[in-house]
Parts: sequence; C-alpha cells; structure tokens
Amino acid sequence: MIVDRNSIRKVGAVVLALATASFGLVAQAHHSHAMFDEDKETTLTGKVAAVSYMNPHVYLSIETKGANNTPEKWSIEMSHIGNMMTRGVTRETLKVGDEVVLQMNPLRDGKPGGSYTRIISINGVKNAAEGSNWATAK
Amino acid sequence: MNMFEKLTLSRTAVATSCLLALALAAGSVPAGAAQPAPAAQAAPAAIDPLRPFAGVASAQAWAQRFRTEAKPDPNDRFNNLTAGEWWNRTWNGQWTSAATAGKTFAEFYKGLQGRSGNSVVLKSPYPYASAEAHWNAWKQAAGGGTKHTRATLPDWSGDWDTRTLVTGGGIQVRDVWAGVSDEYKPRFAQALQSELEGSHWWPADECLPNGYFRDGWAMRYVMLDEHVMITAEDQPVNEYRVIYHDGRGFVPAELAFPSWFGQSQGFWDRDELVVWVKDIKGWFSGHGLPEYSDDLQIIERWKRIGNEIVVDVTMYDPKAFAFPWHEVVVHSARKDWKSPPPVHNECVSTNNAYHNADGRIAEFAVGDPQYNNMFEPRPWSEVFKRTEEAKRAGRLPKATDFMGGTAAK
Repeated sequence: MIVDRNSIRKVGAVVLALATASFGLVAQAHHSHAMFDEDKETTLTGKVAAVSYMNPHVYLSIETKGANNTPEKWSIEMSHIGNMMTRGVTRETLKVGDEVVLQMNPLRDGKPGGSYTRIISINGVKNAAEGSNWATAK
Repeated sequence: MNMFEKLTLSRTAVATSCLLALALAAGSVPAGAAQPAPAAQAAPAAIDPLRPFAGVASAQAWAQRFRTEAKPDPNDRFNNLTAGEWWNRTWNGQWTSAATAGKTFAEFYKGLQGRSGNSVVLKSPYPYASAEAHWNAWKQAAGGGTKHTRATLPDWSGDWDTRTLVTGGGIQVRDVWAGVSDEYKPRFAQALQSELEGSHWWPADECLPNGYFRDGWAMRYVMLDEHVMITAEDQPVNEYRVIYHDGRGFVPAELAFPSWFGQSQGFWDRDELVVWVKDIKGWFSGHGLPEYSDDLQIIERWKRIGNEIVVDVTMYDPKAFAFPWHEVVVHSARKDWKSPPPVHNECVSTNNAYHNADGRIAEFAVGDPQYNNMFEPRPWSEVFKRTEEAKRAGRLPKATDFMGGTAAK
C-alpha cells in the first residue's frame, strides 16, 4: 500500500505550527520548499552515484536511465543530518552503487531534481518504516 | 552562481515583490477584509524595572508573563495567523498549488486561518526611551556593576537549546504589524505578501547570516571568562557573538561599523549579565517578521536559573519600530551534546537554491551551467582542467609541464 505522504506532512505541519505558536524553538530551514511540487510524488529508480552527507542538506546523486536508455543524473535533496539520523538514514544507509527506489516531490520547473519523501527500497530490501523514515524488517 | 549573481537575482525578486506590496497597500489582499485599527495588547503584570528578575523562580515563569491569549478576530486582516504560521503554511508553495487547482487568491487566503489563539506582548515593559537610558539606569541600580573573577563567574558552560517568544514565531502578525513604524510598514507588507505567494526570501537560502531575529540569541555553546563571553551558533554560517564584560567600552564611533551582531558590552549585576548591543547591520530574516534598521540597539539581561538561562531583551529601533520591542529568550541545558549531533553548517559548498527572474525560489539542477556540484570531492581539480582545456584550445599560452607529465589529469 502506498501511504499518502502528503497527509503525513500536513499533519506534521500542523504539529509544527502548534509547537511554534507559543514558544518557538529556533528552528532553521535553509530555504523554503516552494520550488518542489508537493502535489506530485514521483518514483525514481536508479543507482546511487554519490552521497553528500552534509548540512544544511544531505544530497543524493542518482543515476537513472532516461529516454532511449541514456543515463540521467538526478540531484535529490534530503533534510539536514540531524533529521536524517532521526529518520534512520545515516551515513551508512546509502552507498555509491546501491540500487535505490525512492519517492520525491519533483522540482516544479521540470529539472532533474527533487525533494525526497520516502525510500521504497535499497538493493531490493524494502523499507519497513512509515513515511520518510527508513528501517529494515526485523 | 556567484554571490553577485545571487544578489542581482534577489534584487529582481524584491522589485517584483514591490508590486505585490503595492497591491496589498491598495487593499487587494486580502480581498474584502475590513481593516480596523488593531486592539492594543494588554501589558504584562507589573515588574520592577530595575530588578526585573527579582523573585522570578524560573525562566519559564518569566516567559509566561509575556504570553497572552489572542482571541480570534474575524476582522483581522492577517487572519489570526502567527508569524510562525505565516511562513510554515506558505513555504511549500501552497498558493502555487491552489492557483493551479483553479482557486483565486482570495479563496486561498481565506483558507489560511490561524489556529494558535496565542500571542506575545511585544511592547517593552520598561520606561526607557533609548538603549543608552536603559543601560545607564541598570548600571546605576547595580552600583556600577559587580566585579567578578574567573572563580566567581556563574557557570554557564555547556551546550544549550534556544527558544524565543517573538522571533520564534509565536506572536500574532497583527501584533507585529502594530509594532512596525509607518516608514517600515510598506516593507513589511511587501514581505508578508511575498511569503503568502511562496516567494520567500530568507538569508539562509542565500547562505547569508540570519541576523538577530533568527540567530541573535540562538546558542549552542557558551565560553565565559572574566573578559569575554562568546556564544556560538552554527547555523547557517557558523556564527558567533562576542560580549566583552571587562569595562572596555565600545570602540570609538569613527572606527565602528554595522555588523551582523554589532558590538556587545556588558557589566555584571551580581550573577546577572547586562549587555548593550549597537552597530548592528540592518537586516531581514523573513519568517513572518519585518526588517530592522541600522539604528537597532539592544539591551539584554542574562541570568542562569537552574538548568536554564533566561535572557530579557529590549530592542530600540526608532526607525523601524513603532515602540521599543520586548523579547524573551530561554536557553535550556542540553543533556546529551551528541543528540542531535552538532550541526556545523557550511552552506556555500552545497547550495543550489536561488531566486529566479520571477522572484521564486528555485534550484539549479544537473545540466544547469550554474549547478554547484557538491558531489565533486575535488572542485579545484575541475578548475585546473579548464585551464588545461584552454591551453589546448589556444586561449591561454602554452606552458611546459615542468613535472614531466606526472600531474593528475
């Protein structure tokens, strides 16, 4: 079953709004996410070409097969290191050469980039966690 | 994209937003909303202006004095939204999605209604007209200040999490609006309109310092000795503040210049540190909050109470503010410095966010000439390769390979 990620995020946004309503943690977002189309969730299948495990964002470079089987590189933006660790995505989770299937909100302008929403599988191992978290079945 | 190009694009974005602000000023946003004068906020319970922390049992108790209920006002042109709600309910481009779905802007804006029912008292509770008068009153009340040695200084060591009332976004936008000067209201209207439409401009998306409203009191580390206190916060660009409390005074006016966190001078009133900040660079942090000017001066009173440090903040900016503002900052001791791990932000090397010609936030992607390839571990090598290519193409003079062909290609 495909979980409705947008609903999860909307609930998260409400929680965030309530949390900041009375006494705001000095939370830092590097930039707004208006460049990503939250109404679309696209599945990307490919090989991890590179990982940039840095702040303010972790990035994945994913090599996919485009039209006529020509290789395409996608740059996938993830959250900051603290969030990714909380979600179970550590430095060891994704390695160069891994076959990955993930979901993302694509860039609105159609360029090969997006904001990660969920890992579906890594090297055929399915994600056993909910939402944007990652865990393997025990 | 270099910084000049980024700033050029940003100026384009601002120019575009100016038109939007004019629309707001003309009453087109939100359509049909009445615009009565906002009700004045209730003042907090009386405090001793010279000994404000006297009898205060906890940082939270101090903060509580300035929290206030905000009953929903059907005539609120800001839809009872807090500053926090203003950005976190627009930052995913919700208006773009709504417009794509066929909604009018009025319909979209009507759907954005505040939920918190809370606000914060913004007006300073102190009777002082300027930072200097405030500083002088507190220094006189402290008998010129308490002389500490390293051994008698309060223990503020450790790692801290920061929470703020006003700049954390918990204040109703209507209360912020009432605190902005007539001169700066059009600028604030411009910013609010832009955020509603998903054209947020935040310093961090330009890899610039967040300034006082986002990072002025954000603190992860404290280093304290008898001469200087350093507070460090590592977002978005590894910023830190230095507060001298050895009585040296400010540098002479002819040597002073505006900077992100200005100059800070302090004295001790027993175990409370009083700080005067000036020469602050005027700036804008977005997130439902307005600009402040180069005239901003700040008086702070810091005190550790248990496992928290409370900072009482008064902001004097007669150019940008309608009256002196008040803020409460609470630093809570972090039990485990490793969780979450230290952030160590360094924005420039991985940033691909920019504002496009329409003032929209966008990202350079693979294939864009401006794409910042953060996956290249040796970016300098790419530059060296360009030189080699230019030599081969005859655009640069030939040079003998003095290492006999052993250099990396």
